[in-house]
Order: sequence, then C-alpha cells, then structure tokens
Amino acid sequence: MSNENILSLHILPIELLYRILDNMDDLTMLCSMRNVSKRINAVMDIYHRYQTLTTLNLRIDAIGDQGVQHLANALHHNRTLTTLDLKYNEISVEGAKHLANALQQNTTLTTLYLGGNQIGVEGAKHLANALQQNKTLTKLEHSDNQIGDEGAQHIANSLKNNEVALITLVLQENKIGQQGAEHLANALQQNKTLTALNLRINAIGDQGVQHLANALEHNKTLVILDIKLNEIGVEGAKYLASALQRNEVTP
Amino acid sequence: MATTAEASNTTTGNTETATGKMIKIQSNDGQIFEVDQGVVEQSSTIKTLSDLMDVGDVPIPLPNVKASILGPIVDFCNHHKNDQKPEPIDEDDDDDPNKDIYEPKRSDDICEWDLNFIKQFTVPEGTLFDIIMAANYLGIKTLLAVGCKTIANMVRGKSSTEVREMFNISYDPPGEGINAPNAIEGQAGTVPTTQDANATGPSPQPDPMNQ
Repeated sequence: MSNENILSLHILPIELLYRILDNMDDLTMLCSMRNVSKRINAVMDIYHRYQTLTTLNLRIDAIGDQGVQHLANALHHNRTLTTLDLKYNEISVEGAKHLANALQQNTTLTTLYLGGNQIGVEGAKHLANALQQNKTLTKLEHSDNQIGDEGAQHIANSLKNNEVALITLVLQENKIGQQGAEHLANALQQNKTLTALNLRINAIGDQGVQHLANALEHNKTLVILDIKLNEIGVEGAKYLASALQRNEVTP
Repeated sequence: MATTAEASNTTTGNTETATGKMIKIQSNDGQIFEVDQGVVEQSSTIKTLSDLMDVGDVPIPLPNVKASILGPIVDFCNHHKNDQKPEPIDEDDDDDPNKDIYEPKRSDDICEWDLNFIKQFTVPEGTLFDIIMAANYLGIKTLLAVGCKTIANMVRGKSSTEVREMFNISYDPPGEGINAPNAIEGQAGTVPTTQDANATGPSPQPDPMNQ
C-alpha cells in the first residue's frame, strides 16, 4: 500500500495548515478551503483569521457569477460572515440565484451589498424568494440593478411577509416606475419591520408617490423614505404632505 | 561568499575557521550530503544540531528526510546562500505581538528560480507536501514559504470540490455535503455491501484523520 505514504493537504500537521492559510486571501480561505474536508474545517474553526472574518469586502472585484457560485457554496453553512460587499462585480441572474440559495440556509449574514450588478428582474425574484426563508438579513443594498417594476413587485411581495427581517432596503436607481411604487406601497401597508427604504433615482412620479403616501398613513415602522430624484412635482408633494400629517411611528 | 562568512562569524562567534568548514548530513535512507556553512545557516535545525554536536566528520542524521527530498533541498540552499538576508528579526516572526495577523502574506512574490524548483514536486506523488514537511522540520523558512505560497496559489479561484479533486481528498464532511458530487458521498456512504466492498477494488481511502 504505497498510498499510505502519500501526503496530502488535508492530513498536514495543523501548524503547516496554518502556514498555508496565512498565505491565502479571505476569499480563497472562504471559497476554496472551507468544506474541503472535515479536518480542514476543524482547523479553520480555530484559526484566528477565519474566526474573525466577519466582513468580506469584494467591491469592484470582478468575481462574476462563477466567483459568486463558489462564495455562495461557502455561505451555506458559514457562521462567521456578517457583512458581504459584492458591489460592482458583474453578477447576473445566475449569480443571484446562487446567492439566493445560500441565503435560504445562512443564518449569520446581516448585511449584503449587491449594488451595481446586472441582477435584473429574474435575479430579484430569486433573492425576494430567498428573503422569505432567511431570518437574519437586515440590510439589503440592491441599487443599480435594473430590476424595474416587475423586480420591485417580487421584492414587495416578500416584504408583505413579516417574518422577513429586513430593516433597511436600498433600491436606488432601478428603473422603478409608478407600478413598482404601487407594489411597494401595498407591501408597506402590511410590513412591520422595514425602517428605511431608499428609492432614490427612479421614476416613481406623482402617481407613484400617491400610493406611497397612502401607505404611510397605515405604516407605523418606516422612519426613512428617500425618494429624491423621482420626477415628483407639486401634486406628489401634496399627497405626501397630507399623508405625513396623519403618519405616526410607534416604537 | 564574503558576506556568508561574515554572517556566520558574527552570529555563531565560532573561533574556529568556520568559513570553509563542511558538514555532513545524512538522509533517513542513508545518503550523505556534504554542505558548507552557507547552507547550514539557512536551516535552523541543521545549524542547531551542528552547533550542539560539534560533529566533526560524523554525519548529522536527519531521520525525517529522505534522500530524494534532501538532495533538492541542498540544491535550494546552495542557490540561495548568497541571497541578502531579508530581515534578521524573521526568527521572532510568530511571537511579535505587533504583527498584523489579519493581513495575509503575499503569495505572488515567488522568484523565477523558486517557481521552477518547486515544479519538480507534485501532488500525486506527495512530494510537494514532503518538501513542505521537510522544510518545516529543517527550519528553512524561505523554502517553507515557497511551498506554502505554492499551495495557496494552486487553490486560489477554485471551488472546494475542485480543491478536493486537486489534492485527491475523497472524503466529504458529513452534514456539509453540499459541494460533494453524489458519487463521492456514495463511496463514503452508509450502506456498505459487505462482500462487494472488497470486490470493487482499491477505492480511494477515506481521510484517516477525518474518521
């Protein structure tokens, strides 16, 4: 049995595994080394850099859908990462799908930045569905992802479910029009968790604001609604003004 | 050579003519290599042993290293013996409380010669890990770094499944089988068909450390 004498990565002494991990960046440690073998996982669990890896910043890293897939695999059972920044990473529907799968399992991540990708309507749908399963994500930054009215509708549907933990939602610059605003407004009437909603740089218009204004009369949790740069005129302002007279936030 | 001699004189304070002194080291399979102080200086283990034993002509036994690995290591040290010492405080590396432990070391700075050197060692034969183990045992920090960086570079950008394939790791963590091809899970699986197990021949052994 010459096999017995062949050394490989997973049976190296612990101090050498540490030496090797010392040379890896956070992404490699998380995506490539995690879940290779039970022993390597056990070694990593007591490795300082892994234990303290709570924030992974991959902004503008071009990791793409494949990189996201590896990362998502690692996220399924990850217990360290609380903040993940994937802004501007050329992530499309495929990547969003992998992330959505991970979010259904993950119970540690609280903040996810996904802005500036190409997630689109379909991707938004996957993520919205995942939000319904996930109980820990409190902040989703999803700006500039071309989700449009339809994407907004998917996310709005999730927000109607008050099991969703989301407190802060950023949908800035997503080509959301009056219809999208209406869906979000309907969700806000039922939602009791969201405190900040950023809809900056969309195309909500006066009509869309009317829906949102109506929702504010019923919603008691939202404290920040950012609708800057949304083609809102005097009419829209009137709706908001009268809604705000009746709006109350209860702690 | 002048710098090497100087270094050895200052660090050892040896009153003998350390410059030309050759030392013999012996692999666990009996092969003897003769090395000069420039090589000895790079291996904390050989250096300690030679200082301690003052062996004269008797070879220093290195029971953890075989000749096929020790030979190339001697080549490596011979090639690097005139290198400028990067930082003399390197020895305290691990104990330095101010060291930024959060910052991974660079792994893209392996020099051309070292890249070619490390290429002769492979994963299937296990020699890549033999060289890392030997470098660790012999206390050759530069070679250990080259080995560890090489592994890090091999792994970067791969999925855990690909890493398992690359290093012939056939065992998947129970309960974390999300990355495992079903076939592998099946092999490590729960329903052993007692008699057929032998008939299927040499299936990959589960990781003994994982049991």
